[in-house]
Amino acid sequence: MSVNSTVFGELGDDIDGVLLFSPNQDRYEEIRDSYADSDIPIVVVGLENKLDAEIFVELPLNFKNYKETIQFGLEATMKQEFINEGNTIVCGTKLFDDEIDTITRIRARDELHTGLYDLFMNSRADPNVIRDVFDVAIDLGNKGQKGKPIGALFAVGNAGTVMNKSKPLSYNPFEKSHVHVGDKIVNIMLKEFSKLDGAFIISDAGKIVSAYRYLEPSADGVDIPKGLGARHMAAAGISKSTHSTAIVLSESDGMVRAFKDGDLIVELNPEEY
Amino acid sequence: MTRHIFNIEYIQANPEVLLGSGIFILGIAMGYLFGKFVYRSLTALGISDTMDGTEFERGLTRVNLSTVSLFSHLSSGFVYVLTVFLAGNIAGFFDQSLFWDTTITFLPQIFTAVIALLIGVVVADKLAILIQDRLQKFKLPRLIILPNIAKYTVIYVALLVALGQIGVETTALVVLLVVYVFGLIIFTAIATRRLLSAGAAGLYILLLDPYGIGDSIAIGDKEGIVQEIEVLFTYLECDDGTEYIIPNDKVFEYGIDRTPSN
Repeated sequence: MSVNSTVFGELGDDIDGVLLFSPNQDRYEEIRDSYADSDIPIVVVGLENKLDAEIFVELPLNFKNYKETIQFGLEATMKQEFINEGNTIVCGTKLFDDEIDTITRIRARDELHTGLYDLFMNSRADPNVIRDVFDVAIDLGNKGQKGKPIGALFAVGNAGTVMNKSKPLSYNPFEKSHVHVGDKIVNIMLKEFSKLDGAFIISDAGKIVSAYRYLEPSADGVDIPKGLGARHMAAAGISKSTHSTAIVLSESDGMVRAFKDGDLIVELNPEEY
Repeated sequence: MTRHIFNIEYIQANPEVLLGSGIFILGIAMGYLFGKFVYRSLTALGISDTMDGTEFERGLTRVNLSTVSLFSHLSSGFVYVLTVFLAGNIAGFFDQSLFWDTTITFLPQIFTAVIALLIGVVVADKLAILIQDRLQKFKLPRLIILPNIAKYTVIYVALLVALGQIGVETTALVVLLVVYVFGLIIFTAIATRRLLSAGAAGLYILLLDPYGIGDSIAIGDKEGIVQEIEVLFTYLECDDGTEYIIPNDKVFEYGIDRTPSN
C-alpha cells in the first residue's frame, strides 16, 4: 500500500496506520482527509473523544512520558486489531507545543509489548478502579504525610483470594464500611491509614476491603529489579499468586510502580503529574 | 386620529390620551428591559449551555434564534401586548367591558400556556439527549425507543398543562395519561421483578453483612470465596478458578452455608 501524504512527508510512505495523540480539529481532519482513499486506520488517542473520531483510544492517565503514551496507544490499537504485528505506523504527538509537533515512525512488534494496556483495561478489577488507585497513589506520592515521604501498597482486584493470602496487622478500619476508591474522602483516609505498614486491599468494583494487611504470597519465581525493597517484593508476589494487580508507592524513591502477574509493568514519577 | 392626538386642544380636552401614550412608552421600555432581564438571567443560569445540541435549539438556530433569545423575546412580547391593551384602554380606544376579560384573564393564560408548552418541549428534548448519552455509554444505541418514550411523555404532559391553562376540557386526555402511566408501571414491574427482589436482598446483605469479601461460603450448590458483593449479585470464586455470579435473591432462597476458612 503506498499512499503518500504531504502531512508526514517521507515518514508517511508505506504505512499501515496513523496514531494521533490529542490532535486539534483542523489537524485531525487534514490527516483524515488525506488518507480518505485508503483503508489506513486513523486512530485518535486522548483523554476524551472531543473530536468524535471514528477510532478512539482513551488514555486512562495523562501520561507525562512520551514513551508510555505511545506504548499505550500502540498496545491498545494492536489489541483491537486495527494494527497487526509487523505493521508500520506513524505517531503524531505533542512534545513541546500544544499542537502535534513530533512524528515517530515505529514498526509494531511483539517485543514492544509491555502489558501497559492490559494493566489498565484487562485487569481483574474495573479499569476505572485501577485508574482511581493510580490517582490516589500519585496524590499520596506528591503530598506525603506531613511533608515526609510515605509508602503504600494497594492490591487491586480478586480481593477475596488476596484476603485469604494475607493476615491482619491491626484492626481493620474499613470493616463493615462501604467506602470505594474514587470517593472524595478516600484520599485523606488512605493518607492517614498509610502511616502503619501493610497493604490496602481493594475489590474488583473498587470497595476498600481492608487496610493493614500483611501479604503472605509465595515469592517463588518472582523476579523484580534489584534494589527494590520488601514492599515491592510483596506486591510482585501477590500479583503473581493471585489475579490481583499491585500498585506500590515507594517510600525511598517516591515512584509509583504497578505489578501484574509478578512483572513490573510501569513506573511513574508522581512529581510529573 | 393621529392628527387629533397631536393637537394640543384635543389633548387638553382628553387628558387620558396623554396618560395612555405615557403608559405606552413606559410599557415598551419595560418590555424591552424585561426581555433583556430574562435573557441575562437565563444566560446566567447556564441555560444556553444546557440546551446545546438539543433538537429544539437546532431548529431555532435555523431561524437565527436560540432558546434563551426565544424566551426573552416572548417575555418582551407579552409585556408589549399587555401595554398596548392597557394604554389603548386608558386612552379610551377600546370597549371597557372587553378590557378586563381579555387583558386580565385571557392574555396571561395564553402566555402561561405557551411558556408551559415550550418548557415541556425543551425539557423533553434535553431528557431524551441525557438518556441517549447514558445508553451510548453502554454502547446500546438501538434502545432509541427509551429516550423517545420519555420525550413524548413529557411533551404530552406539557400539552395537557397548556390546554388546561386556556380552559380546554382535558379530562379524556388525563384519563389516557393515567392509563398509559399505569401500563408503563405494570410493564416495568413485571419486566424487572427478579431485579427488584435481587436488589432488595442485596441491600439487606450490604447492610447486615452476613458474609464479607474473603469469606468461604456456599449458596445452594455453589461454593467458594466471596470476591465481591454488589447490590444485584454476589461473586463467588471456587478453588479451580470458576467464578459464580449469583443473584442475591438466591441467597435468600437457599440461605448461606458458612464454611470455616483455613
